[in-house]
Amino acid sequence: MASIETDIQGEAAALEPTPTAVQAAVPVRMQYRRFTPFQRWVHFFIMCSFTVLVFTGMPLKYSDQGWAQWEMGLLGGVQSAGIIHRFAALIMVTCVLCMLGFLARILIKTRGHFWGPGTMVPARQDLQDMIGMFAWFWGKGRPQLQLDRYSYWEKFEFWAASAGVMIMCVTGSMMWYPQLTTRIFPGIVLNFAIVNHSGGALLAMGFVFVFWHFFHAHLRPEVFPMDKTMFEGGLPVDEYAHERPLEYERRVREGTLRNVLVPERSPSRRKVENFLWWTITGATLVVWAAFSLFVVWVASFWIGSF
Amino acid sequence: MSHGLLIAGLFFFGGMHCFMYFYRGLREGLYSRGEH
Repeated sequence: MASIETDIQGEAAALEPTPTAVQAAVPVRMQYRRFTPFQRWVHFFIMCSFTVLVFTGMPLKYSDQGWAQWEMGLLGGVQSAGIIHRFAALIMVTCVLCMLGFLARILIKTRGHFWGPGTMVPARQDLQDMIGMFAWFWGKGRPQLQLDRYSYWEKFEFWAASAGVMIMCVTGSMMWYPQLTTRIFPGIVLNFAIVNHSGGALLAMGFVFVFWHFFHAHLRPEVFPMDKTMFEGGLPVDEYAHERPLEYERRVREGTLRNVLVPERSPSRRKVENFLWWTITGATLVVWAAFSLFVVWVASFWIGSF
Repeated sequence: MSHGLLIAGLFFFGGMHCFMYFYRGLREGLYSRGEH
C-alpha cells in the first residue's frame, strides 16, 4: 500500500480523523513511526541471541541423541558451546536490562500511571477483539478489530516472553554460579533451575518459532510474508489508520499524531532494506523449518516415552 | 507435571489461534486477494 503525503505542520490535517485528510501540500512523504531505533535494536539483539541460545542449549538437553552429539561437534565441543551460550546469554541479559530501564523511564514519565490506552496492559477491548476473532474462526463474520497501539496477541506475547525471559535469566544465572547459589539456597534449587531452564527453553522455542510469534509476524494474512514494521520502524499512515484505528483516532483527538510522523525513507535506502528483509525472511524460514522439525521430533519423543 | 500442563495449554491455545487464523484467511481468500 502506498504511503500518503502528510503535512505535519498542518493543524487542520491533524484535526481531521480520516487518513486521506491528512494529505497536504508539503513535499515530504511521511510515515507513522511505530517503533523507535532503541526498540528495534533491542528486538534485533534478542532475536539473534535467542537463536544462538537455542542452538547451543538444546543439544545439552538431548545430549544422548545422535543429532545433539553431531551438533556439539559442529560447535567445537561442550566447552566451546558453553562459552557461546554464555556470551549470547549476556547479550540477552543486557537487552532485558535495557528494557527494564525503558520501563522505569515510562514509570517516571507517567508518574506510575503505566496502564490505559496505548500501553501493554490488557484492557476490556482486547477481550472483545479476541472473542470476535474466535467467533470468526468458528464461522461468524470477520470482525473489524478495534486495535489500539498493541493488539491482544502482541500483549499476550509480550507478557509471556517477559515472564519466560525472567525465569531463564534467574535459572541460568543459578547454574552459571552454582557455588554462590548454594551458599544462599539449598542445593535442590539447582535441580529446580535445570528443569525450569531447559523446559522453559523448549516452551520459548515452540512459542516463538512454531505457534505464536512466527505466525503473527509472517503468516497472518494482513502481513504475509513479513511484517517489516519492527525492522523499518514505521508504516504508511493510511495502513496504520486501518490497522490501529483506536490509536489513530486517539492521536488525532489529542493532537499528538505529528509526534509520531517521520519522513519516509529514500528509494535507494528502501531498495537496500528490501534486500535485507527478504534475506531475513529467507533465513527465518530456514530456522523456522529446522525448529519446527525439532518440535515435531520432541513431540514424537514424548509420545514414545509414555 | 505443571510444566507439561503449561506447555500443553499454550500449545493448544496458541496453535488453535494460529491454525484457525491461517485457515480462515485461506478460506476467505485473504492471502490471494492481496489484502496484505
